[in-house]
Parts: sequence; structure tokens; C-alpha cells
Amino acid sequence: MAWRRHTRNLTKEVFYDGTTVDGTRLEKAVNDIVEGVNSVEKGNAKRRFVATQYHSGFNPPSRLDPNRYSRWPWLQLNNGATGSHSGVKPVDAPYNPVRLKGSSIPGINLQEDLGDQYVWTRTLYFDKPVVLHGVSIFLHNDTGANGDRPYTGTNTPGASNPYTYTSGGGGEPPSGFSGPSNTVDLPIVLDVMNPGTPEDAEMTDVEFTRTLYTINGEPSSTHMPNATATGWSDFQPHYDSGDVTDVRPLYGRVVEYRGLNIPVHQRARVRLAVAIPLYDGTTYTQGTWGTDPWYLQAWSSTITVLEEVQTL
Amino acid sequence: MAKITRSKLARGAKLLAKHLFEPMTSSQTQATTANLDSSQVAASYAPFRVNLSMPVLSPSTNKMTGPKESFNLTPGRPFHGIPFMLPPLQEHLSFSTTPRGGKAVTPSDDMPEIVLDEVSFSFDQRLEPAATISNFDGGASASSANAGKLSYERVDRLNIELAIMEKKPVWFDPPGQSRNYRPGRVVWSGRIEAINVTDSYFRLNPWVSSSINEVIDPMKSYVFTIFAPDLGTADTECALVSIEISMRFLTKLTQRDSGTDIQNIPKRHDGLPNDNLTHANAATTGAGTNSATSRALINAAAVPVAGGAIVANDATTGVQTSMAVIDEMSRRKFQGGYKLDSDLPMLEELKDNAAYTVLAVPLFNNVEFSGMAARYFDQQPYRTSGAQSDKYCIDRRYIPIESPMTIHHILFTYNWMPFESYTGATLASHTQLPALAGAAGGGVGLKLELGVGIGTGVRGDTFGYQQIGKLTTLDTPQSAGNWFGKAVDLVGHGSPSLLPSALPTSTIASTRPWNLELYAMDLVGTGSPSLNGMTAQGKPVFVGRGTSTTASRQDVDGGASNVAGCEQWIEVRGRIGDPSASITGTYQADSMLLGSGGIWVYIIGKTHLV
Repeated sequence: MAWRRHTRNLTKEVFYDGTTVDGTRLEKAVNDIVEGVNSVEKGNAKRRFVATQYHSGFNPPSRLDPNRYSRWPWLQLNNGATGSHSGVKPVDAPYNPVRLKGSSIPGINLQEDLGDQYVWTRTLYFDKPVVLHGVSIFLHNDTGANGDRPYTGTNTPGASNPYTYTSGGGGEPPSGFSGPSNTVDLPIVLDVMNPGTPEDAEMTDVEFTRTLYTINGEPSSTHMPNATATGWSDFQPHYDSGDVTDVRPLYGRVVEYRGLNIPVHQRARVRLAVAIPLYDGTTYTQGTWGTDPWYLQAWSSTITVLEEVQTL
Repeated sequence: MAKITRSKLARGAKLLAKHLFEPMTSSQTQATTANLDSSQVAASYAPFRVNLSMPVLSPSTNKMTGPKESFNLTPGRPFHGIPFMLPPLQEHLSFSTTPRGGKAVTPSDDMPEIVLDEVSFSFDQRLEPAATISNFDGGASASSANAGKLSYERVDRLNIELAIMEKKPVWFDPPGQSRNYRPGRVVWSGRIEAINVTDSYFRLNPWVSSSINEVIDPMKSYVFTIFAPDLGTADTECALVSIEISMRFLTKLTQRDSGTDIQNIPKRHDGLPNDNLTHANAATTGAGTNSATSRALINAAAVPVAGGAIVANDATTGVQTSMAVIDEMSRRKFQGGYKLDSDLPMLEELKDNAAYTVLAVPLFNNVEFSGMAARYFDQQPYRTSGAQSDKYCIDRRYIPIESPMTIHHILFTYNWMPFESYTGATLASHTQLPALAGAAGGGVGLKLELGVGIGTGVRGDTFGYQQIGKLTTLDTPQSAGNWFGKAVDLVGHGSPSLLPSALPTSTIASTRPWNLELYAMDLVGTGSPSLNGMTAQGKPVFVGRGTSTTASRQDVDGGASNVAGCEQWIEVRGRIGDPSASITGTYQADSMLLGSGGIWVYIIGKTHLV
């Protein structure tokens, strides 16, 4: 609120005994007060935002399906990688060799074409200013070690813990990590495109990011929920197939923040990106991500913004 | 209540108490009884959005064709449709059965109007002026070596037409007699030209159409349509990846739900304003925030009577003293709405502090070929090849609860839009309804089960769920009674020649005139109207994060909530299968179990000012 000499909000007219009072001032003062109640300004209401949620998510095709033709919506991060395009490209292309900031992880070097990352990108548009309130990324993992379950978080269920490096075979863990180390390779970036150069990945304004964190340090529950519905109440339909049982509790890894209170300017393009790794498997181990990181977990992604009330 | 009126103070008129004190006491009464309604708020419209997210759309993942353009030899595809509806809130929903068996709606004057304000559409171009190659590229399989690669040459394929079409739901017609399957009106349309997304410095992606200002009919259904006719040729194909659609609506603020019959509402306040403290009991403006001292309320009994002496700043009843009370309330800011932990402001003045809202949740939207065919049922998640006792494939979504809301309706879709798959040797099209193998077909007991719950336990040491949307079952797709006879609407979308057929070979007799279906899922409990029965569902269900003060809740479904007021997320679940038969080997291999794009679940209710 701009500084004002008087302490009044609805009217600046003030009346004291012993001072002059005229009808015009009185009329104006009463009118100001009544208008202040008959047409409450946005700034005079304590709460004036409503929450809007952008939800998305999917169970990908089963990792047990031998074909697995589809890996949508994951697309390469490295636009300059060998074989990242088909056919003729313009002389200056790619215009954004790397399309995300703050996504570098140990064991992948995009400049040297050593491994790649695959990104699920959601781009939103806001015509009016909003407040970014929350970001939630949930990796659904099946509890237990039943090899028939599709979303175990590892391509070697029962042999390796989810989201860990492995030694031997194709390549070694990156420097500073050993065979059973937890991986730190799931960058989450929410950025706002520069209004002047909206197609330039270097000019984006990163408003929220989680990177180089230990995925296994973000379990959805401190205790893995009992898989047989003992000690907890379920709802219907039960999350089971009728035979591949013990899959009912929701469990996995969750990166979830609320109360972010980040203002986003009008006419903003906001992009939420999640990047999963595909290590080269020769120099660096692919770890439990394996060759098909797209199929190891199901996803729920929610962005919450606060939008202001307005006139029609 | 409504706006305050007052006697104008004309020049030369005798100054009376009513000129000065009546407006002040009226203002105070309205404020202290939480009766400042939406007509008294300058910004009285709240936005809400129907946000639709699709992992992929291509001419093969949806083979429905759209209208033929004069310069095209063949009609283009995909012509994808997503039905939705924005029905009246429970208290505004009233209808009766007509003599002919249809439904007659009684509109409510209090129903807040809904206005379409903006549509935005985006997809992932990898931040390049390029198209993305589909995994069906090459026309021979679904495993193109170029799948997911950029193609700068094919960026001219990205012509996309969007529309929102309106339709009268078949549920209004006498059961089984409706022939009303086609949308009747285009409410809004837009076109993204390929040239808009081909520049290397500025692309209209996201593309947006704003200030649309089109009023939406709460008793009509709508279909959001995406038509990308140039994505494919005979042997090349591009895909739209990670599509984000956002339809922004505006709606007038309305009164929030309150009372002990609102399921799961915190007992601390039951949604009622000033339930734990009144302005009268507080005896002050509740201020002190913006001034040194809070101010005593106007003592209405002590203001000058007609003809009484009027003073300027008497300690209790002066003109200045009275005006300062109202002024003080506005400086404290008028209160209303909810805190994020489901508590209410201790003192409230605003009456209308809730607004219509929709949460759209996808299920089965990213299966192998974007649709599910009988041939591939054994490869669906949670099925193991040959283990026929795995009856269902399943899906669920986790949506964190961020702001308190009351849920009034849950709607969901089912679709039969055709798609293409790869058998390992050839491409196969799927347009047939689930049926027994053989030329004669025959009904099968395919079953869909859906439910909505709230859960607790994320980053916690407890775990549990409470059902809030009843388990809803559709059974035997070719039978009206347990499947499409329950529908709120049935929509024929796209070319009639590609509508689903009951037999492997489509004929006029075997073709079903619709391919999109819209259903209602009842809330737990009884006593409220829904779209498929007058008293079929329960009263609105409150969901909101709780603290020790707001965890004590009213009953849900006739009993205490299993999550004890500690809900953290909404979970939407679905499963599809045949509990009585093996689908593989029994069903016609190319029949589809679920069409392209999967299922949408719409959770509809009131959100609140926060």
C-alpha cells in the first residue's frame, strides 16, 4: 500500500469538534464509506485467490511387456545429440542444443554425447499473474519384491534396490559413487520463459528446481505400508489385478513442495520438466535404470497455482 | 442482503441522524453478520480451469477422421474428442421426470453463471521449430527407428484445429429413445497454423485464445476437439507429445457449503461464519493490526435519534467515530474463505467466498497404443502373460490436496475411439466393441470399476483411505442396462464410418452411433441429487488438510472418516478386465477394450478464497 498521510482507508475525510464541517465533505465521506462496503476492492479483502491444479500422470506400458513400443511423453534432452533428429536440419539448428538448465547429473555428459536424459515437459500459459503454490512429482513404485509387478523402480527387482548404481558389467558408477550407492539423477526444473526471447533455453528463469538429490531420500512413507491391508483401511476398487496381489498401498518416491509463494508474471510461459537418465552403459553403469528407464515407475504430477479473483 | 442504500445529503437539507448513522450501522450489520455478498465485491468472478493433459496424439494413436477439406484427397486424422460437463452444484440441481420419461430441469436463479474466458494449448517441440516423429513412422510397424526424433522438415505438418462443441445430454431424453448423439453447436474454435510454430525465435506454443466470453450451459455437455489433419501421410507420421490443454472459465463467487450435513467438514466450524467468535462478543472491529488500538463497534442503540444532536467525534457515537469503525474493518481487510489448513478466519464479513472448480484426472491415458485391445490384454500392467486369474489391469493417480474444497459431483468418461496397433508382423486397426471371437460376435462381460478416495500417510507413519466417490461399475459394454444405459451422455464424434461396431465387419445395423460416453459417479451417502438419479448420491464431501483443531470432522458415509480428518491427497483409481472369462483367446483379438486416450475423471465442486 502506498504511503499516505492520513490513516484512513475508505475515506480521507476527517471530522473533529471545533473544526469546520460542510455538507459536501460529509456527503463525500459517507459516500466513500458506503461505496467501500458496497464495492469491496480486491485489496480490501484478506483472501482473494483460488487454487487451480494442473494434474497429469500415467501408468506407462508394463516393463514386462516384451514389445514396449511406446515411451511417450519422454523426449531427448540433448537436441544436439547424434541421431536426435531425422532428415535435413537448418544450418543453425539445433537452436537449443540443451533445452533445460540445471539438469546436469554425474555420469552423463551431453557435450560429449556420453549418455542422455529424457524429459517429460509440461508447458503452461498464464495470461494474468499467478502465484506458484505447489509442485508435486510422485513416482509410484510397487511395494515388495514380486517380479510380476511392473513398477518396481528397478530393472532388476529383487537383485538391486531401486534407484541405485551397480558395479560390473557395463561401466562403473560415476566418480564419488560406488556400486550400491543411491542415485542422484532425477532433476526437476520449473522455469519461466523469458518474455523477450521465449524460445531461448539459456534465457529462462528457473523458479523451482530439485537436482542432485538422493531419490531414495524422498520415500513417500516412513514405513512401507503393509501390503495386505493390515492396519490400514483401503477404498474400492482395490489396487490389485485379482492375482498380482499386494499392490494396494500407494508407495514410491515423492518430491512435493507447497507454500512456495512464487509470483509468476502475466503472459508467462511456465515449463515443468522432469528428466530421467539413460546412461551409456559402457563408461558409466546404467544402474537400476537400465536401458528402459521409462517403464520403471508410474507418475503423478501436479502443479498448483493461485489465481486472483477478477471482474468479468 | 444486498447493497446498502442511503439518503443523499442534498445541499441545504437539514442534517439528520439517518444521513450519517444509518449507512454506518447498516454497513456494520452487514459486515458483522458476514453478509457482504458477491454483488458487493468489485472483483466477484473467480477463475477455474479444466486442464487436460495427454502424453501423445498421432494419426495412429487415434484413427478417427474429421471433416474432409476440399483440397485434401482424404479426410485427416486424428480427430480426437474429450467430453466434459460443468453441471450445477448440488443445491442448484433440480429436475423432474416428464410424462414421456425424459428429464425436465428447473433452473436455479442462484446458480452462478460460468463463462469460458480462455483456451490455451501446448505440446512439446523440444524447444525447436520442429515436429516430433511418431513411433508409427514408416507405415509398417510401431517401432520406427526415428520415433521421438526431431524433424525440421515436417514442421509444416503442425496444423491443428481446436474446438469446443456443445450437445444436449441424452439423459434428458426418455431412456433408450434418444437419437441425439451429435454435438449441435460449436461454442468456440481456433486454429494453430504450422507457420505459428516454425519460427526459430518466436513460436505460438503455448497457443492461447483469450477473452472469449462465451457463457456455458450447465445442463449441456461439451466436447473438446483436437484435429490435426496433416500429421501423417501414407507412410510418414508425426506425433503431438505432452499436450497440455487448459480451458479457463470465470464464475461468480457463491456461498460456501456449511452445516452438519456436509460430509467430512470440520466440526470446529461446520463451514459457518463466526461460529467460534462473533463480532458482538469480540465487541471490537477485531482490528489493532493497522492501528494502535482496536476500535469498539458502533453502539447502534446509542446513536442519535431523529432530531438528536449530532457531534463529530464523540467518544462513542460521533460521526467520525462511527466512520472510523467501518474504515477500521477495511484496513483489517474483510475476511472470508478458508485457511489452507481447513480452518476459517475467526471473524468474517464476506458471505460469498466459494467458487466452482473442476479437477480433471486421467486414467489409462498412456497404454501401449493409446488404446487397449483384447489382443494385448496380457501385456497390460499387472497382467502376467498366461496368468488368466489376473483379471484386471489397473491405474491410479495421486493428487495432493492443497486448498480446501467441497466435492459436489464426480463425472467420468469412457471412449471407443479407434486406434492402431502393431501385432509384431502387421498393423491392426481397432474399431470393434468388445465381443466374443468369431464373425457372429456376441456380448462379453468386460467390466470397468472406478472409485475416488482420500488418503493419509505421505511422509507419515500412518496410512489409510476413506472412500468418497462410490465404487462405480460398468459391466458388459454391449448391454444397455449395466453400461450405456447409465450414461449422462453419449456422443458421436467424427466420421460415422469409424464409429464402433459390434461385429468385426461394420454394417449399419452393427454400428453404434456414438463413441464417447459420459457418466456420473455418486458421492458416498444419500440424499442429494446427481445426474443419474434424484437422491442417488450423498451430500457434498469436504476435503482439506487438517490440523489438531480441524481434524475432528462430521461423518462420511454415515460414519467417522477412516483418515480422521488428516487427508493429504485425493486418489482416483480404475481397473478394467473381465472377472468371468479370459479375454485373451475368448474375445475377438482386434476388439478394443478401451478407446484412444483413456478415461477422464472430473471432480467438481467448490473451492474457496485462500
